[in-house]
Amino acid sequence: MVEGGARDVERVEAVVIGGGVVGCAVLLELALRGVEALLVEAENDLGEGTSKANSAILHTGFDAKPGTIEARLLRRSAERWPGLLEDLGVPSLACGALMLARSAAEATGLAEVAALARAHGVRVELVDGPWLRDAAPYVTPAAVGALHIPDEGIVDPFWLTRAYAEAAIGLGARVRTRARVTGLAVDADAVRLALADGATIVAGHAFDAAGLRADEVAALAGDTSISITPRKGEFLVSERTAGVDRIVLPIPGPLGKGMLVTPIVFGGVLLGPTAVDGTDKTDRSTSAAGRAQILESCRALVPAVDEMIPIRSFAGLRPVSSTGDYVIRPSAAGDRLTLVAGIRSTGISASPGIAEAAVDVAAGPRRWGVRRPGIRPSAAAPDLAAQTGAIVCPCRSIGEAEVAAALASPTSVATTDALKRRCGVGFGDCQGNQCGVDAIGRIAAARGLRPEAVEKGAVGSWLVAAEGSDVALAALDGIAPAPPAHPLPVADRTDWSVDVLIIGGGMSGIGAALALADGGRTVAVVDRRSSPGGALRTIDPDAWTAAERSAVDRFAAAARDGRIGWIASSTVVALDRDDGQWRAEIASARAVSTAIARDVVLASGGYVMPREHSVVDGPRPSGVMTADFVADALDRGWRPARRAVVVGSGRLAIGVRRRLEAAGIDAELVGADPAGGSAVSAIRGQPRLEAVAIDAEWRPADGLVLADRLQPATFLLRGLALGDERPGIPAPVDATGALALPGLWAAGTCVTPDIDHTTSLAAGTAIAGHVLAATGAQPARA
Amino acid sequence: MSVLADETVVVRAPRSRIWDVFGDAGLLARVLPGCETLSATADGAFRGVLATRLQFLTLRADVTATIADPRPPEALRLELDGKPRGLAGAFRAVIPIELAEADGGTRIHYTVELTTSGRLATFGAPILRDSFRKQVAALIANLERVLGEPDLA
Repeated sequence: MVEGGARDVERVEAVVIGGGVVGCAVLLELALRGVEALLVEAENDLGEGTSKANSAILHTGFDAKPGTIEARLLRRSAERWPGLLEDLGVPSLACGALMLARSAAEATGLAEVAALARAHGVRVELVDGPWLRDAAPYVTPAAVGALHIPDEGIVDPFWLTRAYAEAAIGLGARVRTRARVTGLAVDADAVRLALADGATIVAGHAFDAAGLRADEVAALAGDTSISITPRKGEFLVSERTAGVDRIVLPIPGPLGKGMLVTPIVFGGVLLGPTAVDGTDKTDRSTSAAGRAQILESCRALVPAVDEMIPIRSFAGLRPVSSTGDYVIRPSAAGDRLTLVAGIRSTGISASPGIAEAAVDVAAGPRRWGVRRPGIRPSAAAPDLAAQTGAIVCPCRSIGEAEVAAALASPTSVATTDALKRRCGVGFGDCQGNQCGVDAIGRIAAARGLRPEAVEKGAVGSWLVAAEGSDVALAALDGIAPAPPAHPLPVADRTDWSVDVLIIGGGMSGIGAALALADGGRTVAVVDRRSSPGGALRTIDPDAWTAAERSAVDRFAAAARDGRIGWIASSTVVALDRDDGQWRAEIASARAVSTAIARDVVLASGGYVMPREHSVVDGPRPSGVMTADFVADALDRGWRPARRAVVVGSGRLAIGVRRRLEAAGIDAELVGADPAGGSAVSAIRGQPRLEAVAIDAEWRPADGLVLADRLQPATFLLRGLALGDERPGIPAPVDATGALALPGLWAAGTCVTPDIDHTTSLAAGTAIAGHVLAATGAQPARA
Repeated sequence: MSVLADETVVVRAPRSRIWDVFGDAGLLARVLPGCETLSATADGAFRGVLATRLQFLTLRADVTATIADPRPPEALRLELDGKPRGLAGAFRAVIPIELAEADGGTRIHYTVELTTSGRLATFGAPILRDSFRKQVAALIANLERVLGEPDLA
């Protein structure tokens, strides 16, 4: 895949305008018919429009309006999906759907939908309340029956879009991103495209698959026969599923299917969407009102929605055409341009049929052949390197091997969203705030770019400021982290056997390690960073207490002389209990190590609560980050903003502000809302943050740094069925800090999430006392 | 831990032959889907490399298979401990299997309890369940094909 374009005139048999799921499906259809084809996409990555923000449902078309193009192509696509999904290697599940009836009147409506579905040739069955209690106990007890549609499915929408393109590339097609079409002329012999970067493409045929912008692209050629308006849908994502294993939906209303509860292929559920007709094709903002509406509607389907804590919200825009149906026909400007537009909300589901129909429109006049089988599935299912490598994403234990495979993909581009959609880095609870800087570094290194050239998603969504002080710019040349404050030797051992393994080298881990070592225990401490101090390393050591400074100095000395094992830049990825001992698997860039210990103290700290976990009205630009991201960026000498608002009032917020200002970044501190709400009521700017509203007053800022609330990091406990998959739930300990399994303890921020870590050191010392008391006065090992 | 499956299938092969497969590394290697290497260890277990296509990703795992509590020819418990290459963490599958003679073959009832850690645990049960079902279908097809071969009949 190539970014930008050559200045020369490029000739090609067919060009596809728009790299969403529809455009990419058309590209593959062309490639399978042996047509030389090029796809041009205005954005940084494929699928940056409607294809990235939708319910990800593979819809059978059971309730489609009879006689429409949409209904016909949904049915045609349903025939092709099983083979296509296998060939393309796309994550998908035929999970089935339940359309609920919550009253006698709705039950009558269900019978009508069932008759429509059968007329379309879709398998359905009407099921009663007892069937639902047995097969889908998560649905509301108010449901008196449901229509079960077993062939409805779900898919990973990013993967599908990319897989179409990669399969096409494998057959010789080309894709060019950051290639916005600014001029289009259709004449008797050819179609001539002008791109924003000055390049010209001359094609025998063009397909307008520009989604929301399809009308504007057609108008460039003088075709004003269609208009497209955006219908916004807000969604919420929850990691907790409450057992939901089918799509749950209400009887449809006039604006579509209504709000759904939909499983996500990789786990979790999607709630939504809202449906609001608008005029602004860039408005992907989310709101407290939208969130409340989603939760209310979805709760009426699945009551356990009340127990879910969304980790993310987003909004998508469906392109609604002026005809109310798909528009797949020759353009009024000439038959060398085919419109593939108005693909409202079923674009994923109907994409194989749409592509076939669109290419059929052109195939006669252009004398193209028929489709031949020929997809090579290998690109879609990569082999991983044998070694996991260091863990890049602590929320999901994603290692370097997966990241490297994603960066090597033929459609890989230089954005963190692209990496997220290819391997999951940034999809977890912290929403990329713990791994984002590392991700930028890896993308930059893989592509030979400077870090400021790596964007979040859309063109212009910068992450690292390019201009600034000379000092900061000089540091941009390196992508390695700055030297740690307490440099410690890297242990080369890969098998550890100690009395107590401490997971986390923050203040609580340090406090526990020192007290346990003083008590005669052998101790090793694992930390994912190279130097101890945990979250406090974020701030100036001047803001540390004398006790904290002394503890870190003592710890560093003990680690240096070997009295405490220091397992740096490493992550515990699994804990097992066997024969009365704990066994930890520890991943690092160097090796996979194991540690055997009688006791394990979880001192894994926490991460600053990202915007995603609270409600801030507005768009979703780059520049909204937590103190964790800022600290990592500044450690590398990168400037994460030019002018920032830091939210918080404690020493973490003050320390982060001080570090930003030391890097030449203007940073204003605003206190957290004492009522627990958000001090920031709204933001604006897209693709980069432009302003932040504090108490309804707008402040210009291109960085919003959250440093006001902490979430406990308990990811490891999930593997032991002790942790909650919802964010913000602390490790469930008793009064002594013990967890429900023998020899397993937790202390500090992962138990008591205090943003300023004022009690962490004492909590570590206290847990050591409990461990010493529980394991007797004598050390277990010599 | 999650129960991935609780199912009954009928395999068109005699029970005694199916039983024998569980004690023969060569036969097991031929019926286990994606088996790249397999050898018997001194303690009666099997060790090898299995490659599984998880729809979107080819997972290659170092696996140890142990046959526990054998009651020939009607029941055993298959325990699989695996470490995927390139992914953090591990998996353990405990699969109690009952074999009963049935019309034209053998009725096999099995359950699967899967414990995953690290990265595998974040993939979500639905995708693992789907992948496992496909593996079992391939295993049964392999059993019928291999046991139907003339030199084994």
